[in-house]
Amino acid sequence: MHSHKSGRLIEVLICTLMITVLAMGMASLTGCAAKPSPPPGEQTAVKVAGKTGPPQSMAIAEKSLPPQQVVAGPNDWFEEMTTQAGISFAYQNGRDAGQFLMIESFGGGVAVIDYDLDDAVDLFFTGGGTISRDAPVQIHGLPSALFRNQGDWRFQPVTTESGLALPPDYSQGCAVSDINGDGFPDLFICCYGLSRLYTNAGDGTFFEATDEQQLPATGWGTAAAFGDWDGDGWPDLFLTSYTNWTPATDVPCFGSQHERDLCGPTSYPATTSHFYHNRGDGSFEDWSEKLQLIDTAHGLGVVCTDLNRDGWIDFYISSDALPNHLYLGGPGKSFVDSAMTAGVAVGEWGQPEASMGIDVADYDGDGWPDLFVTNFEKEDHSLYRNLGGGLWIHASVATGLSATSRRRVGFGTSFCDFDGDHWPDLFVLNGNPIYTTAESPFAQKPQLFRNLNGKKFVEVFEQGGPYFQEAHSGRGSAVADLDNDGDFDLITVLINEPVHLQRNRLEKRPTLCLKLCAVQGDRDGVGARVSCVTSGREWSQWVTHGGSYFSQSDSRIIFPVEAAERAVAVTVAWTGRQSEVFTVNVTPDGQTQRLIEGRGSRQHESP
Amino acid sequence: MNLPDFRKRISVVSASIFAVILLLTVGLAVWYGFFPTSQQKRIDRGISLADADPEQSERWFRRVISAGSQQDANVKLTSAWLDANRGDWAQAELAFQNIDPAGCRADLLLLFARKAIKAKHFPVAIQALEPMRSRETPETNEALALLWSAYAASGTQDDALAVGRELLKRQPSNHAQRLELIRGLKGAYKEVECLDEVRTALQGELPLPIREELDNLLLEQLIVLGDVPAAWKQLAELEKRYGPSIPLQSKAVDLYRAEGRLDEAIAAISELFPKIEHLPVAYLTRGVVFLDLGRFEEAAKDLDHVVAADPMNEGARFKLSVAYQRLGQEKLASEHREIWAGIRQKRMRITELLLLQRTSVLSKNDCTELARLHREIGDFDRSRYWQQRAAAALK
Repeated sequence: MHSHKSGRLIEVLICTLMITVLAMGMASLTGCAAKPSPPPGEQTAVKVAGKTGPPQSMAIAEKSLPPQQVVAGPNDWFEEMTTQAGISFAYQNGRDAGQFLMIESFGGGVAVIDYDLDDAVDLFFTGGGTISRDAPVQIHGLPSALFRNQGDWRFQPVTTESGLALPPDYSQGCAVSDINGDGFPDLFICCYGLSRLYTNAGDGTFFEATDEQQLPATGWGTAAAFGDWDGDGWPDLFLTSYTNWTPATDVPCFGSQHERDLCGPTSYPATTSHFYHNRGDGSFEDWSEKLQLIDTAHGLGVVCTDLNRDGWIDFYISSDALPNHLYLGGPGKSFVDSAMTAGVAVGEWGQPEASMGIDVADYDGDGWPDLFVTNFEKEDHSLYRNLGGGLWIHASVATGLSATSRRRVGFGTSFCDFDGDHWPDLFVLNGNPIYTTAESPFAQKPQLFRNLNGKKFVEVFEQGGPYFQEAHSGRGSAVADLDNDGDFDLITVLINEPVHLQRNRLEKRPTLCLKLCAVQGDRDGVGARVSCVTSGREWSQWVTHGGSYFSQSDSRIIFPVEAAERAVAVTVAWTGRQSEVFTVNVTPDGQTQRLIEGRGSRQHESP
Repeated sequence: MNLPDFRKRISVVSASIFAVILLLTVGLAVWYGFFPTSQQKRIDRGISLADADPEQSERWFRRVISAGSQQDANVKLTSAWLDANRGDWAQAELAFQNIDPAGCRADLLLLFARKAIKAKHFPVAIQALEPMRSRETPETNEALALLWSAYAASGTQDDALAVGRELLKRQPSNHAQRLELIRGLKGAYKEVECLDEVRTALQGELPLPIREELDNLLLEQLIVLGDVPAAWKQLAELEKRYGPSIPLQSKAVDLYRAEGRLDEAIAAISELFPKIEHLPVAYLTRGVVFLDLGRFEEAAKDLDHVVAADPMNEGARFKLSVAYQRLGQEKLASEHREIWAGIRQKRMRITELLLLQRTSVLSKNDCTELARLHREIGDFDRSRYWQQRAAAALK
């Protein structure tokens, strides 16, 4: 029995072994065996939690502090005055709709305008607009704002009383000029849609002077400047445009993580600027074709003055990612771009730059107007030194300005003697036109450069005051002597943030504050060179229109003078007319003195 | 028969049966090992032989097709691979358009993508690899590496960098890949991110050659982004660590220029010049500083030297035109300006064509034009590349 059991056991064992072997064989055939290890190179394929999100540098910049929270230090150049001045206004770009339209990038501007001729300059701000959340996209304008300067850093909102409450189309830049020669400065607002002209009635009100017959400025107007191109005594209008964009042709743009953002300039073709001839009766005629204004640009800035000192006004246009244009005036001249041969078209190495703000001043004291242009991140701001003879040379490297702006995007700018040493310093308002996907943040700190005797610029933002320690979405800016104390204060326009006023804290000192009143040419005397000899050398300044970014600064000219000087001889080289010498008394309160054409002593000056 | 005999017989019979079964089992295993009947195994065999024995591989894939359903995504992909293997890319690409990659084996997609990349058919390679980004398989890392190279080769830098970043998140200690990403960021002018990545990389343990390259790149990025004080500090650190060198001396010239210290810049390049005067860059660096200083005659002389050696040097042409203009030699200035404008225009057209790739596949004409433009600006390597792309587009 035992043997039988043993035999059965052996049979069972044999069967079990066979089944096992067969099962293993089947398993290997059907692929059910354990998966082989990945090759060595793939064994590291373990998901590792790494650093996520954009690099620190791409993160949103620090939030702005409320203006009144930080007090200026004893050596600060500027102090915040916005709240005290009673100015509360913010340009709106319509970002909240989440449409990411091209038009949101550019922001608004400020015009310094003494609309009531009380010698206390007033402030006008463009309002921007709204964008609908739903399709089809609707773009509407928001009201602009006018603040009357009551003196002693008090401003009164007068938008409604002045007749400016009705919103124009979506607005951006603005310009000022006495277009009808009645002595009262008029206003022009650049819009997406129909750009508007508001005539100053002289009684504290403006009335809209534009219909398409009077000023056929339709399309996308960005920046504007007035100047008498044809020498007929009436200021003509130069209006830049960015592109022929409409919401229907909008291109969606994305960042590297496929996040939606605003587009850069290469997404849209450039377009032509427009030139409107002032007929002298309050109406304008489009002479762009007649004067062969055919160059295309992504126009964002225009400045008008006599850049080559030939007695004719010139226009210089900044263009985003394309060469800038220079139109030199002359008798019967059409618009021929001289920027390339003059040396002011492109960057140091010949590359077109994304240019925004512009200003003009004689930074090195050689009597010739130099140009400063703000550019995009990873580009240097361009300082073009005027060599005379219609030639400029890129001087950012030579003056130490190279490399100061490569992590910033410059917009508004002013070439202005902030520290009262005669030499024009530089202010640059920064911000990125792209919300989140560019290399530098949307909000950026402004910059201040001190001019060291016309040789070098050194950054002195530490001395700028609290405003310079904060990041802002900066766009338009202007300078003006808001408190008539003989120095220039700062006004800045930001996107979706309140505008800011900064008082220049320079100690009161003897100055000449001059306002030109032309009789034969346009009343503002645009293009005139104003010079005087003081502090041992001759200093020159120019009356300019336009400039900075979407803005118009104070058109008055301020010269610091020596304490002992009682009177200073000031020479005015009117464009296209004889120069005159005015003997200007130095007044203790530095009040504005008008230099009226024909009341000085005439002199001949070779161009 | 007694019991011991019976037991003996049983054990002999059992042993014999066992041996026969064992032999049969081993035989069957060997047989199916070499000649599997399952589709998956056939695909495995085809893939494993693809590099070593393409003919055998092809045989196995044919068996996959003949034994499988024509609706099966893997069968379709195998068929597309066979088309590609015999060089019929038109048919392969057409076949691939009818495949849902989500239903395909990762290793088979990888095999197909490798072949497409080798044949420079980047769009179809990208189509094959993209779905693998969202699949966690042993092949994912290799797929990402291939996808990165496919995007980079097809000129879509943003996509290439996105894949590179993704891969680096999965393999943060892969120094070679980090270096590749850093180079990609630099090439795409993403200077800030490049600087951040360099700094991150330098915090880890690195092989010496990579560390040295990254140390130098850190200096370069600080200069590019205008952080001059930090760049001076890094320059001093590099001189201490690696000793003075010509590239570092050259960077000192850049830094002096960035600060507007032109007298020091000209002194530094003058000291360096004898060591590098065989290189056009020596003349370019010195010529540019002369131009900054308003020494136009010397600038023109140096820059003439540069354009003689490198006629398509856009920056040198521009600077030379400026120097001649300041010297009052308008004819020469205008000649150089025209050449510069021509180069500039061609570069802009190249950019325009490359941007087209974001939205569409470049045509044969586009590729031919890119080849011509690159040749005309003296970039012969890229010209050859676009010629090849044009030829591939022809087929």
